[in-house]
Amino acid sequence: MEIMKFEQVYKNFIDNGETIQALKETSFTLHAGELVAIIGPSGSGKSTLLTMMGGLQRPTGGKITFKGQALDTMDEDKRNILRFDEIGFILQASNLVPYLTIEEQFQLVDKFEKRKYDKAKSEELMKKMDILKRRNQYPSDLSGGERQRAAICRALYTNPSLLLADEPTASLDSKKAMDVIKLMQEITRNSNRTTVLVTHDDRLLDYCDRVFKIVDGILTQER
Amino acid sequence: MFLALKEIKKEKGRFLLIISIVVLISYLVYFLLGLAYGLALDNTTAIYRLQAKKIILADGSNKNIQSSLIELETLQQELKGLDYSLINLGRSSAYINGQKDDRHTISLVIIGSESNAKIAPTILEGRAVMQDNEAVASISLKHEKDLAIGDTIKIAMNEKEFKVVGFTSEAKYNTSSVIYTDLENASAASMIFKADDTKEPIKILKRVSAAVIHTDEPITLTSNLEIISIQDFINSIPGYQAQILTFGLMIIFLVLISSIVLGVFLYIITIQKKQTFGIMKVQGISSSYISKSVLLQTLIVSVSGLFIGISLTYITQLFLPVRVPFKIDLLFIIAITLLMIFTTILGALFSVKSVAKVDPLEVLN
Ligand SMILES: Nc1ncnc2c1ncn2[C@@H]1O[C@H](COP(=O)(O)OP(=O)(O)OP(=O)(O)O)[C@@H](O)[C@H]1O
Ligand SMILES: [Mg+2]
Repeated sequence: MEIMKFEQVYKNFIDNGETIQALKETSFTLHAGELVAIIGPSGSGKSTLLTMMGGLQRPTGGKITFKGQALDTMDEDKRNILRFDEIGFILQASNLVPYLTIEEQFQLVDKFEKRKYDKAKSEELMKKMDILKRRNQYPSDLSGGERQRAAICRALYTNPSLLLADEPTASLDSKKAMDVIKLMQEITRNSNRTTVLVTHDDRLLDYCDRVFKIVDGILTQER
Repeated sequence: MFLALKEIKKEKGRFLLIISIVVLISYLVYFLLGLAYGLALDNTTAIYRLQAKKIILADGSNKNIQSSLIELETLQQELKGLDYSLINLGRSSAYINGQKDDRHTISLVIIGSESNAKIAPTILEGRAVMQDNEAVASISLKHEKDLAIGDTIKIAMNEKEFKVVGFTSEAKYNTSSVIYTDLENASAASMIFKADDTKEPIKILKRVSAAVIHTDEPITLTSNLEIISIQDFINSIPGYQAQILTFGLMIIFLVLISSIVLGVFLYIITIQKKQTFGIMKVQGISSSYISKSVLLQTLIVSVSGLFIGISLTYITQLFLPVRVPFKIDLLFIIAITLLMIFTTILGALFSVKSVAKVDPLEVLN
């Protein structure tokens, strides 16, 4: 199933009167059940690509379609709702609200949506990621790996069909990084969702179905 | 609600600090308000109790009853058919039970009226004036000077002695307590008349200080008299307007400055949380939801702070010496409280604006 489609998408920034071509014209399609990696040197445009996928910024030109809806022309409120319902973000650091305990991170989602807290679901997720015993602690009390796993739980709680991760393993040692990528592989395959992962770590690529490389804003498919 | 409360729970120390600032500032505001109101009452209670709409003073008395002296006969002719009371007002130091030490000397206003007049005092304790040398005193003299029924008050100016036969509810004029006597005893003539001046004390009343009118009907006078509305008369009590203005400005500025301080405080705290707002926005939580929680926090902080401030003010009142003119008026308290809540919310709106401006992209690198 087709999840996301980029058609001749490009993004320019104007910085001090100078035009920066952060992402040059590119087209590709992402499908359900795929784990896709994006690699490239610093400043090459990886985050720019990821944030356009998540509807956090609009392309300068081209068409982005998410599940059949035009994301590039959608207004901000609608993009917010879509992101809340369908897209999960996992960031390099601090994905969590510092003054909420791990369990409260899930409750916030339900409070915002004015629905009942799904305790069973959050506990199941926390158990799977091995952080259940940390549920009443604040993010600052957790180790880097635990925090990252908590952030993954939080992103999965809304059952997103697209999971976007910007260097999710950057703050982890290699063993923990492997645990996280295996987990992401599992949740992508088992739930038939799409995961896009920005990384610098080559060892993670073995677990991915496709690998995109960006150099100076030019996107190419490596594998 | 959820976000607001959870953050307060996590950041107890920080919020306790902000609340204590609200408590201290509001306590100061309420305290000043109590003093201002108490002082205003100390100037005016005796006048409000006259139930008057207008007062007739001598021409050129500059709205000051103590400078007014009107020929009784003229006045009675002019006011024929109107609902009015004659009034004499004298002022002197006095001492209780013949003792001249500090504790027993008082600054006194003597108001004289006809015994059947509307302005005659209502009796709380004891009885009304029946004889020449009797007086009814404001209950404030009982509270502040331990005056009791049966005590004597000697007027320092003319050495006339009154026996206190009753108390009426608190009555003060220009911060002095009032005693009520018959019309003659408070007249200007008897204030300056000493017992050994002549064998026969002056008993014939030729002039009075003023007359108060109890109705709103328009009056036309032919003689050289001034008609002044009671509010106008109160505003002309020496020093009264200056006090009201001073306190009023102090309170208004305090409210303004305190809400700016609070607003800045909340603003700094809010912009420190930019990163957190960014995270929530990345998750798809809307600015309006976050803003509501910021506003709610402001409301929680200000309402709880103000509530404690009000409680402290009431507690303070219990421990203040009776001589301090401090009175709490619930209506004023409510008005100032609403004003302070309103101004802090206004300050919080700046924070809300900054929440809306946070770009979720800033959290990503
Ligand atoms: N808001 C912006 N305004 C101006 N220029 C920007 C903006 N965002 C990104 N850029 C520029 O666009 C280019 C691509 O940036 P991007 O953040 O996508 O790189 P990246 O591949 O994620 O780098 P890194 O690996 O360091 O995170 C960079 O040259 C960056 O300076
Ligand atoms: Mg980046």
